[in-house]
Amino acid sequence: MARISIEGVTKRYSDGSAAVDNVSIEVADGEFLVLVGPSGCGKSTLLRMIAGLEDITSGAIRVDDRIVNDLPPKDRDIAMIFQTYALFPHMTVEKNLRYGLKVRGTPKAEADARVQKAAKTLGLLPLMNRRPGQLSGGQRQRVAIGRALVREPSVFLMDEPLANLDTKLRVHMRTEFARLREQLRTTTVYVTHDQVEAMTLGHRVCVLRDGVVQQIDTPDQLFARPKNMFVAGFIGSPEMNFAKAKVVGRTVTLGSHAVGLPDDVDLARHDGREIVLGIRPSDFYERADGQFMVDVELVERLGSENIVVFPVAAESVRADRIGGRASAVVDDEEALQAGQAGRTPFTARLDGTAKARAGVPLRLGVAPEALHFFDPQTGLSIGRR
Amino acid sequence: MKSRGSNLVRFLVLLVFCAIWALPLLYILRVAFAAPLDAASGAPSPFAALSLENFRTVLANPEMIRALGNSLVIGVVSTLLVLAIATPAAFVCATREFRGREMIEGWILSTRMLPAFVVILPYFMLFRTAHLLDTMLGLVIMHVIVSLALAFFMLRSFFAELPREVLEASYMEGAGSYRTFASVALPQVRGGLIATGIMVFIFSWNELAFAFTLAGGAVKTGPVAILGFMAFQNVQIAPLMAAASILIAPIAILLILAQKGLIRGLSFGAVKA
Repeated sequence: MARISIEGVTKRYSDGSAAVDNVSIEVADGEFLVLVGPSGCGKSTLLRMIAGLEDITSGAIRVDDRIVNDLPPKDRDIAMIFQTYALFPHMTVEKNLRYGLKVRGTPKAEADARVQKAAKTLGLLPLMNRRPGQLSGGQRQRVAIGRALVREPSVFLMDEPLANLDTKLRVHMRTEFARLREQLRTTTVYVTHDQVEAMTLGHRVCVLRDGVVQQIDTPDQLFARPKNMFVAGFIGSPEMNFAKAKVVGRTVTLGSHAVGLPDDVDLARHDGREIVLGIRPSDFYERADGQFMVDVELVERLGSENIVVFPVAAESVRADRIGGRASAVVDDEEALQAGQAGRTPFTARLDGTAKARAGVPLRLGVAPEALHFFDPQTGLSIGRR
Repeated sequence: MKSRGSNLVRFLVLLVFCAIWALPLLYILRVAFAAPLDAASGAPSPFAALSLENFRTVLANPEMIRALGNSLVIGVVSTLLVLAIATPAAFVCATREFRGREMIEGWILSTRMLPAFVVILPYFMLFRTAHLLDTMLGLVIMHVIVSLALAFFMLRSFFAELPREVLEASYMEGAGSYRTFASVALPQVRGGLIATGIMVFIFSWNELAFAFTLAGGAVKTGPVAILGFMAFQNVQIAPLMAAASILIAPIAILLILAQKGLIRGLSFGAVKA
């Protein structure tokens, strides 16, 4: 068991670019912390720095109260699960499981007991004499977990352990990881780019972007109170709708729609100015007296829910283009929207019984408490008291 | 699907190359296995009777036997030494970033840049001073020096192909560099190690220039002894060819046994780049 303190850690390459930029995170004893972000955000680099596989340019990493910056991986008492599993291909499953214990000189009787226990927990007993090459992806994954488990380390690091599995197996293994998390209560840092994994597994989730921490919070808080547009856009699926809106007294006008501000929001400083309004698709509901009268463009029927797409007469805003390192590349999404200035497609997620049909106008409502407001320059959440 | 025509063309081209390569070999074997009288002309009929007489002549020559023995000892010892030095060096250079790495690699490569005859004289003077002329030890040292670069670069390519994460997993499990090298990296490049060893052995077994210049009196190797058939006995063509066959035999067997690994080893870089 251990605490991890990451204090102002930076990783800078020789060309001057920073993969991880002044990151500070406290991971409590027994906590399961998920690092999430798009590819290239520095989450794996940060994990590898905790592991000791990557040098730290500045800052400090402590495990309990010991600074481990210059400690080689073998002296950190940390076990790591790699995305590619990184099993030893020339060893049998049993030898793979036993390797760490052998290296550390664990007495044979104890090693036997631990290997047997882990193999039993993970259903590896019938596979003990096989080589990794003779195993399926899911089985390899379990061996990799087993190899980490037998060590009984004070910290687990997991680098996208589910990314190489097919969808069905991934969902299954996600549940397995959740079960292990409850069973072991070992301090864990888990890296993923998948927000569902992050939300379902993490006690807390840290969202990274361009090597900078955006928000560290519980999954619920991250979803309900994102600190900026990037987090709001990254967490939740379908993605939160964003559009430019104007504050007029205690209302916000979005194209032809006017929405009253909730009581806990104060946008007086922005009165008469443009802000970014964010609404989660799941916060829309069908209601005869709703604020939005919309022209339904498209309905995707998924059985349990219907995804309804409708245009809003307001300028669109991309969450990943505000704050962070601005990028001038025009991507597919922008190309698709070109020529539609002043018109933003919105998405609403309604339940499966909704009668929405393409071409038929529909009235939708949103609870004022569910609205999100952001500064159009900084992308930071504004107005909440 | 390739058309039949293009396959035929490819086959014919390869056949021509094989013939160019194989004809001298076939000639050696034909003369070696001919009766001394048939062989005397230097051009026995392809259908002349087979005979082992020439082999008897060669193997009755104790100097030839000793030379083959010398070649075997020098080959095996220098191969083991080369592998012992080059393998850890290649592992470190393939898997670690450190200052001066490229300089070291460039220096190792440069040892292969000079033609043997350019460096023979300085080595001769060095060996004379060190009393290594005409000794087994001297030839072993020389063969190690010459083979190190080839072995280093072959092995380096094998180590570079190992997935980085597998080595990192070993470090995470608590192993240090030595343990990771011995228990994780080495077993995975076993094929490459064998291929490299064979290449080094073949070099030593065939090497003539150094063996002739730095030794050749008391210590003769196989190739030097064969040269003797030409120099001292007015080119006895039939025993010469029999001796050549004996010299080729172990190489041929090694090559056939290790064909697959060798091709992979020699095409290093080609696959990855």
